[in-house]
Amino acid sequence: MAKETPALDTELEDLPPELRWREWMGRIEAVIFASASPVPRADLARVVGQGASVDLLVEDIQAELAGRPYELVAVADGWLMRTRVRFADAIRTAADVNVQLVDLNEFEVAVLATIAYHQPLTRDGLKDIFGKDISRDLIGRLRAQELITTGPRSPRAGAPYTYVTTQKFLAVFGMASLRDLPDREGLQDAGLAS
Amino acid sequence: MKEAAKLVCEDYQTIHMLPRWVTSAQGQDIDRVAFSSGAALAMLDVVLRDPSGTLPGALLRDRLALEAAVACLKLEGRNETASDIRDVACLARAVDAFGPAGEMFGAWRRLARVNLAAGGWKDRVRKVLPAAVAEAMPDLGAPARTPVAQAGQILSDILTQFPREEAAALMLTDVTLARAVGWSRPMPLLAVHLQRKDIRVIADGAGDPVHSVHRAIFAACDGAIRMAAALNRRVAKLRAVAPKLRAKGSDEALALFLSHDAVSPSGMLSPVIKGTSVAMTDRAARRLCDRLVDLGVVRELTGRATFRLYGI
Repeated sequence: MAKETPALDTELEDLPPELRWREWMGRIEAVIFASASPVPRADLARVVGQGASVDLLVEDIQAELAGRPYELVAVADGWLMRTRVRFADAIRTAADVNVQLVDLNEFEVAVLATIAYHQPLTRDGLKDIFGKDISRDLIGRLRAQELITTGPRSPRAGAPYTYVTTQKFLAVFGMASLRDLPDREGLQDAGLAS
Repeated sequence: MKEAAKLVCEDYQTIHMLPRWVTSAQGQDIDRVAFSSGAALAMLDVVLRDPSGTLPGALLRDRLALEAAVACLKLEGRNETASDIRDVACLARAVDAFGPAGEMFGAWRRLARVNLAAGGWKDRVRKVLPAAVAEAMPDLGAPARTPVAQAGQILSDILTQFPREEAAALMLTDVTLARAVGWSRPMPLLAVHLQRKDIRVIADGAGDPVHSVHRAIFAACDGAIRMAAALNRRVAKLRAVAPKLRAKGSDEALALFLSHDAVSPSGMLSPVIKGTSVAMTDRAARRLCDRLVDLGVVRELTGRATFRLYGI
């Protein structure tokens, strides 16, 4: 995108400050709207003036979208535009959405969540937690979808690889960082973990 | 033999603990805590200026960085221990993803190595921080105020703006403090000693950040001085045995021990000693570490039979 518009005027000095700000807001919203994956701050900074704060611009856009059915959210290392959660049923009813960003069954999600909490974790570590072998296939599927990647080797016999979650994992589950994982105490209180 | 060891210790034992009139001060009113933290900071300052030139500063900062990383992970609801972090830091190759614990330690380690006296230090500090905090990074410190007041100001500024970026806020607080007292490198001091509830209160815009920072600085300086004294003692022993080591590359290997919390013989010493072009075989690296343990100057840190890590 940046290559096609090498001479984009980012400073917009001929515009009065207010219009300039609107134009920057418009650009940021357009760039995020056009992208299927989260747009990192550095990319957004390239379409606005040197002194403009991307955060403030994003905040202004978010304020403007307050009543709309879609929102601008911070995930992983960037921003993403998505429909609000409460319209999920409506969207599902109108369009049979079966092409998902990720395709995971319940057990795969459980394995993924375990890795997220306990990373870096080896297959042996997973076996200890689940009480059964976690197949290489399952790990392979999670890797193929770029939800996990290999971390440092574990200091055990055979130096097995550990697995850690990726930026895409955060983006898919709408988290800005691993801190957004439900906290363990909360899970225990809800009877979802022991 | 015993006599010689004692002599060495006395020669090098130049670091004194905080005097009792500082450590025994009771009470939590601002007067008291400000007095104690000022006194402790001045003592630590003398230790770090290191008149005798024996303090292993890089090693001290690296170890403090490790402690800070553990404390910050805890604040973020993770419970990796220091040894988990060591494993990641020593065993990960450059191509591996480090995971949350490795990244946290990596950030603190890079921060503690920034030379604040050299130009461009601001950019180097920014690179360690999350993008959002880096962009909002204010000019650090108003020279008119005391170092602790400057540190408290930064802490509350960053925490109220980014309540979930405790690590970044603590890093900038340490940088501000180091700048204010004229240290050339940041000391990771506050993360371990600021209490979780103090941090939450400050993030909510309530409480008195300067009061909390005073308390934390006192405890942190006490801890850092003790650590410096312990490391100084062990490093003196290490330097005393250095001439006995005849292995090729032993000088370079010792330099690595003097700047890293933990050293892994495979990976950091062999095939080449990290940061140098000196080659060392796997076997030579293991033998050197075993010899250093036999001489009592280095400890094995993991208790494992394989993938051992060594440190002073």
